[in-house]
Amino acid sequence: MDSRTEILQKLSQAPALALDNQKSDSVHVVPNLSDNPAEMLARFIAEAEKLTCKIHQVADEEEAVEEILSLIEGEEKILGWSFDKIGLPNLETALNEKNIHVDESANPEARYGITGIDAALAATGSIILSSGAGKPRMASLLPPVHIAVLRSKQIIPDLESWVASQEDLTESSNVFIISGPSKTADIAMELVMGMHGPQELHLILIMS
Amino acid sequence: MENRANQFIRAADVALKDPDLQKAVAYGTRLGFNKRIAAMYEYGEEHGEALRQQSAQIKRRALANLPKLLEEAEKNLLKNGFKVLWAKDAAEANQLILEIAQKHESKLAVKSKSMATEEIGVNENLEAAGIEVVETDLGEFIVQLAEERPSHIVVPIVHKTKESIQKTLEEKANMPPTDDPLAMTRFARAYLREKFLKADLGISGANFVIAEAGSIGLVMNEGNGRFVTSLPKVHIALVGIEKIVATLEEYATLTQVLPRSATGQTLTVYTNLINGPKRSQEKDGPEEIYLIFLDNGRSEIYQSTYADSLACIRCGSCLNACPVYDVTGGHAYGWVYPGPIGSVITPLLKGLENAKTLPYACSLCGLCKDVCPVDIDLPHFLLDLRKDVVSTQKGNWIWDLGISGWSWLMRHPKIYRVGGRVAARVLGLLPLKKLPAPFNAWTDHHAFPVFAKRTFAELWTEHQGEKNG
Repeated sequence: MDSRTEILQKLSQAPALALDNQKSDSVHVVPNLSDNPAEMLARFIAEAEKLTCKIHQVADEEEAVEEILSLIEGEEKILGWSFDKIGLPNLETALNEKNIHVDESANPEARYGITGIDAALAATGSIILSSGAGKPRMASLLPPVHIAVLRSKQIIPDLESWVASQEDLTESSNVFIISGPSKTADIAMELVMGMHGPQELHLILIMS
Repeated sequence: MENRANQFIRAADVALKDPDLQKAVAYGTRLGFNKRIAAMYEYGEEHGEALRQQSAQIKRRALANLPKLLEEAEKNLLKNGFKVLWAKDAAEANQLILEIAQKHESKLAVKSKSMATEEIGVNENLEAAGIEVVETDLGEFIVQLAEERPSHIVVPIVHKTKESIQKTLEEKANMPPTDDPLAMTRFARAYLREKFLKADLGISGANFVIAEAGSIGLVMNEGNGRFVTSLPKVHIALVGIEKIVATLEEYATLTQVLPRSATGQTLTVYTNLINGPKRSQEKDGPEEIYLIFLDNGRSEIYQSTYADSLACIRCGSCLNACPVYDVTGGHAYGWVYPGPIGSVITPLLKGLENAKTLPYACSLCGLCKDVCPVDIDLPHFLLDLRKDVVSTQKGNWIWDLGISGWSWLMRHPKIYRVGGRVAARVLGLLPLKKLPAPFNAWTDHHAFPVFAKRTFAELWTEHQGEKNG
């Protein structure tokens, strides 16, 4: 008998577990969240700041491009998603003018990575990203600084509401929720940012 | 992984005399304990309890339907492009992992933190076949360099001081001298970054397998788990069969409750959902993912009265709450899983006779049940295991002799009363501090009680006489 059959047979032959198979009403981990856009925005900013994210509120795409340029001034090569996936078509021309090249490969020298996001969570100040064509995973992981571009209308209440809104979560090979910069407290419980992933997370928040 | 659970008392003795360990463990566990309370009860006690009960129900439902959900998970994982394998024990899991590594001609494997891989000893097995294995979680990396074992499910080097970590990094990895945690972390980042970029095999565990989606969920703070599951061309995930949850909705709850209970975070920095190998036109991601379902004794637990212990989500909060773990640290428990959950599942996974001391490593204070995010009745299980130890005659013969003597005395009240009076008169006169071997197991660790001058029975008779007279 192969191991699969053996394991499943042993489990099936076990005495019925006296376990509660009832499903009661489920509560959200963060209760009573508002779905009012202004309140969600305020909560998202407050939670993301607790996680040490640096928030850059900008009025429109043009300002977003300017903000990004001032952050990455002097760089020659950065990592990033394709411009249409970041959602800032004007960024391409602006970077070309400054001779800044955007690499989709895992270039370990790059100091900045620019991405868009799929959604943002008010409850925890998190951003949700997924992998795909033009969306390399390394852009949000390899460089010491990650810059994510998002729009205020992308903010939703929480993880539960996001899961409920997705038709097929498995469409991308990898979906990841990022809550602040990489960190560790393994050495004597002292907090250090940027263990393996970025030590800084900048959120370019376009108010729309 | 070698099992030394039966040496608990000797190992605990050593730990109790180690002032560095005492300080480091107490500091870490108290910090974790307090952060858990703040996070679980952030929205009030009632809400926190509701969340705990909801999480408990999610895992209980998954366990009740385990064989069905495993088949559903397998079907959906295959649909998503995973290769699914099954291992009935550690030897088979190691064999499967080695075969995959050899098939893909792997030379360097990077690992993210996983208790299941600790359990089967993946590293030793691959290293014996000439494959380099590097732990990439900072704590696990230091443990590997120091040739030690992790001492906590979530915080692997909670037992180590900054000075001892510095010594390990300087001696074993040629770190330039520094006692600054930031500089040490940066050194480890650069050291491990090279490994990530060179590795051709990634090995992880999984915190959750979501049956309806055919996905695996991983939580981490450092980001190493994203590297391990993204850069090497082959990824192996070794997963205990009890890690199943039925739906994404339930996963959304548990993947938030786990960090709140473990480290007091609202979410870990990275909550990673893996839905299969990289799709066409993707720049990075593994070409193949093997998911190995590991039994290794779990199906026997499932058939036993201890099935409920399989609900554990490995948050480590029972370790942080335990007054015994607090002073012994994790190594004394002798195998992979320390603390209250370790005292329950080590005897079940390794055999009662190979871990018969662990059920007694408990003061029955009950705190481990109160802090458990899935409400496992650990103190009750520890009592049941003690009963099993005694009833299967695997106890200490001195203990058995003492208990049968006591039981005989209790059935002969006249002799008991005379004995009590003699003991009170005679023992009270002797300066007795310790009993001689082999009766010293208890008195070596406790002050010998002072006998009262008169027995309770004498006082009671007198009291009744006064009342009636």
